[in-house]
Amino acid sequence: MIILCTLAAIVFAPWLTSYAEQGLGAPGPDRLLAPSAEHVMGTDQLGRDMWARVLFGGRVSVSVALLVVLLAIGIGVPLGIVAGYFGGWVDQIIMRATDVFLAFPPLLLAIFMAALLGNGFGNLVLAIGLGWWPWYTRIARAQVVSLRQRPFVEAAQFMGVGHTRIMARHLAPFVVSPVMVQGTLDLGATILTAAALSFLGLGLAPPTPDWGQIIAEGRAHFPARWWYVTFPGLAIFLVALAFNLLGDSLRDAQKTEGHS
Amino acid sequence: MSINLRQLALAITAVCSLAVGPVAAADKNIFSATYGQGFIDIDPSSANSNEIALIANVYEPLVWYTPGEDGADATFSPALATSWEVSEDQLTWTFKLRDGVVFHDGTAFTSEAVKYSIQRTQTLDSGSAWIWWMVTDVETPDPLTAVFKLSDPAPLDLIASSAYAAWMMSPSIGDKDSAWFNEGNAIGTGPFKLRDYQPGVQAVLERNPDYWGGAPEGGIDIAVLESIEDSVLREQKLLGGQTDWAQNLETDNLAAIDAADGVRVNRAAAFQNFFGQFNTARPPLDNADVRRALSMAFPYDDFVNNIMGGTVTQARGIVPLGMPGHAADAVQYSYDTAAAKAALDAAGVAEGSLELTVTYTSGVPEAQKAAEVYKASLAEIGVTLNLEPMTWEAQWERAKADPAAAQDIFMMSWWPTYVVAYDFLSSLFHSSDEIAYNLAYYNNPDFDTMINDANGLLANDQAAAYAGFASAGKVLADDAPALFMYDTQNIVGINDSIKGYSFNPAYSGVVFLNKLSR
Amino acid sequence: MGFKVLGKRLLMACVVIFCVSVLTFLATRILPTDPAALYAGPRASTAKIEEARLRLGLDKPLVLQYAQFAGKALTGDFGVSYRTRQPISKDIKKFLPATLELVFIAMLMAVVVGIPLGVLAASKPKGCLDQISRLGAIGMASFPVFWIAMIFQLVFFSWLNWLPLSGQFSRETMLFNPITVVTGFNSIDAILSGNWAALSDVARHLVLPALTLSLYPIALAMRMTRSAMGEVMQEHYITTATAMGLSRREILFRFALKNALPQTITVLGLTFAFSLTGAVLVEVIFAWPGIGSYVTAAILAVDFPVIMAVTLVGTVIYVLVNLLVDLAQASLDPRVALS
Repeated sequence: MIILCTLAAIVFAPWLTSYAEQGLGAPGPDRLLAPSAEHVMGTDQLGRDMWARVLFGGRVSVSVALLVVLLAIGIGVPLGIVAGYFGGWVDQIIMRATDVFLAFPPLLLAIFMAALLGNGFGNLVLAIGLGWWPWYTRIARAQVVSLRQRPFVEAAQFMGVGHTRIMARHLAPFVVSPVMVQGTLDLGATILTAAALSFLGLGLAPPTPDWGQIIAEGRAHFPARWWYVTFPGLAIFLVALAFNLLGDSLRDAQKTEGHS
Repeated sequence: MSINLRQLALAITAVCSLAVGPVAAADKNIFSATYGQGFIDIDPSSANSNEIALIANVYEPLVWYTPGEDGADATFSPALATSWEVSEDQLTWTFKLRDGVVFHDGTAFTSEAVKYSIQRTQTLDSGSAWIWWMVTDVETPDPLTAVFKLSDPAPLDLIASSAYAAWMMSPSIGDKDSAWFNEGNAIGTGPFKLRDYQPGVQAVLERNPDYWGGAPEGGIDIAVLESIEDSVLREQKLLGGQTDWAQNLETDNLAAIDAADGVRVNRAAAFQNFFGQFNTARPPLDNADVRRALSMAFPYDDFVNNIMGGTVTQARGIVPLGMPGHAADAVQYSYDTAAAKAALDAAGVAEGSLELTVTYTSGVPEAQKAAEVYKASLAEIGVTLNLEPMTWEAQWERAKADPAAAQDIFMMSWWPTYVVAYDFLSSLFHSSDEIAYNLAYYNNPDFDTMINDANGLLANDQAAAYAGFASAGKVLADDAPALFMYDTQNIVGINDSIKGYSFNPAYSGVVFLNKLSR
Repeated sequence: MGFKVLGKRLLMACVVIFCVSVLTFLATRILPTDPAALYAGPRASTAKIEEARLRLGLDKPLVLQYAQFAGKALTGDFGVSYRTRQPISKDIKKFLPATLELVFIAMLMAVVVGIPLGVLAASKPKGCLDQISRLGAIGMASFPVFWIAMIFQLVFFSWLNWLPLSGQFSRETMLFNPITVVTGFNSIDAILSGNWAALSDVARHLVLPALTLSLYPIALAMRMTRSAMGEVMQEHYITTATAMGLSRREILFRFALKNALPQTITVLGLTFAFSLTGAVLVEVIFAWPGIGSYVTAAILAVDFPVIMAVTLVGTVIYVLVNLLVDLAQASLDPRVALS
């Protein structure tokens, strides 16, 4: 439910507010107004409607999260399948590389990369995604290792089907389900990480609406102008909660399926 | 779960009720000041930032700069020098020194200490040591006379009052390097001694009982100078009475702070401003008409009075109002989008064709506000502005690397090393082969000649020098190599129980502790 | 477990740390920003910058530079910070205990609060308690740390005025009741020196940051314990025990938890990692002078030697803790082989 509402709000953002331009960055006339009927979440330091900022910020946050997870899957899964399928030294090299990336405490790598790369949408995605792919490599590899000795793989090999084709056609489909579950769970975590980075000033360039950055701005106005920090914070919480709940349910469902 | 929450609540209340007040020290008069940035380098020879807040209380210069009240000329008041005179040829300055002054370690303050301090600073050649470039030697005919030999005429009284690199230290320091100071050592003559120092976090100063100048009634015994980066934490500490003085408060909260019990807001004009240098090395910003058009597209009134809440004033040229050499008759651009658009058309810039980038230091709230507001107002005249916040180092490196590939607008704030208009005019706009802070890449030989001539007059004829700076400033404003946004005020929150605080714009951020009482 | 396996694990850890050090080193050297200019400081002349380049050895080939960096790092010398102008190892020694103090409390909370809650939730799968704790844990894990920290400040300082706003201790403690430094951990040092007034002050300052930092670890411990217990509870011997009429409490804590413990131990490693990075945000909000505020300030000042040193030290600690966790797991459960 929450997910549907959130996604709907984000997709239909321009139609849910009469302040679409302010949501994207144009200053408004009245600064730092408390929530009212006209501005349900108040206005910010440049007079922009907070509801519009939060809505458009959602578009940014969710797309960053989606791209990070896609990037992580895009790098991680093929490597995992290759490692699991070939085994041997290929496996060794790939898995030791994941060890190296997983050796960085989480977030620290993202902070490190974001500091190196600088502000920007692509850089933010890259900074977080680089620390995330090894998890998918592990998942994909584990799945493939358990399938490698199955008769249908050996049959395909015997019939002279190429390695690439076996991996793409016969092994990849089995990887989809666990990766989907992990991906959903990670959406919540990436939204939190992205928010943390932009809170530290390593996010997107203004005036792009960005939840973490709005909170960083609102920090100076807190607690007197409570709405400045409270609403974007609640938005982050709700979206992260939604993805976490969905991921958790999917995992439960998958477990039950596995047991039966 | 409920059980555990209750236990947690119990634990918290237990800890809270444990709070026995720490050992009281009723007989000590403690003052604490909270800064937005930590002290890094407290070597008086090389310190070049807000460390002067500490240094100006532990060390003293030969001369203090005292701004004139209500438009009167500034004066130089005796510090460790009691009088000084300059020779006919302007190349010899003789300082008579104060008698009976001792350093914190008991060493007597003599002309040898002056010679030692100047030479140590020159040898270290770091920070603002360049201010002494024309000093070839310091002679010590007797313990209370120091004679400065100059290679070129210079206003040495003004230079000796510099906020950086002009502090007198004990010859007993010998050849110790900056690291020794930054371990928490200091030997000055000032009214306070350094008791404890944690780099970047805090410094504790205690009264020097042997100070030659004595102490005021109800004076401060111990001062804690701490740094907290978060403006809201500084504000809360001030309101909660955990600190007596706090700087860099959020402008939108000033009214509330002023209205709160027990605290007041102190505002004073500062010799500091905020501007955006245009890249004059590249079309179309190499065309002064285009720069003038862009200068008409910033909503000065709204920004100054509404967004900054009247805490700043619109700039007129680059030298701030109140500083000698300010150009009072320079052009001040006003916000007029129709005129700006017409000027762009006239300069042959088609609507929608101009896309500019602005760089500013991330985490500086007013820079972000200015950039966002400028973006919106430029959009109205069909100019796209892209914002690129970055660290100061990255911003500066990129600007210095290659003007042709650099930003279009470089936003920054400036204040002088010692109070002279030349600092603004020359550092920011004098042409040079090696780019430092002329990030407009401005190259105007006539302007260079004007400011250099005026500067040459500074030692002989101050009035003529200031008039020269003012006419150069006028030329500059007309040529618009920068968007002159605003002059800043020094705004601090201070506890009502503290008396005697005043701001000296020559020593930004310094609280003169020996003038305070409670 | 054989020493041979242990040796192999240690060797692997060393290889990983080596790769991490090479990666961080290279990453900071391919940047357009000139370390020599940073070292020389603002308004430095070209000559000063060149002097700094020579002093830092930046004119040498990269391989030599790395060798020099690694050689010094091995002896605990990470060079001098551009920003604080202090030896980095000295800074780290000063700031790390403050962070570890928070991290250890967060881990303790995970064990003391999170694990029992997980056990309780597992006692009746799909029961009311289980559902509530599931929602609670997922909720706690969904809060942005920096935001909840601000809300805590609002509630406990601004509204209730129960707890101090920020910092490690009050001005009075610092001036008149200073804590003798023994271990660097303020609370432990206060106990060791019998400085009770300071201890209560330190404890009051610890509550909010530690509470904020523990939310995620508690949630994590709850969920992991719950899921490990869930599997154990389906085993036959539990059913047998129930049939034999053992009390529910005895079954849960004496049999089930004991068998779920190896998996729960993993929680410790994970909570440690998350607290270590969560501390970065918590310290910024509470002006806590720990390694997190230190590295954040370093990032904003492009202070590469510090960023590298902290990343490296953080990684070493992280790898070591994970190794310890694996060892503990293996010793608790002989079925887990060290592979």
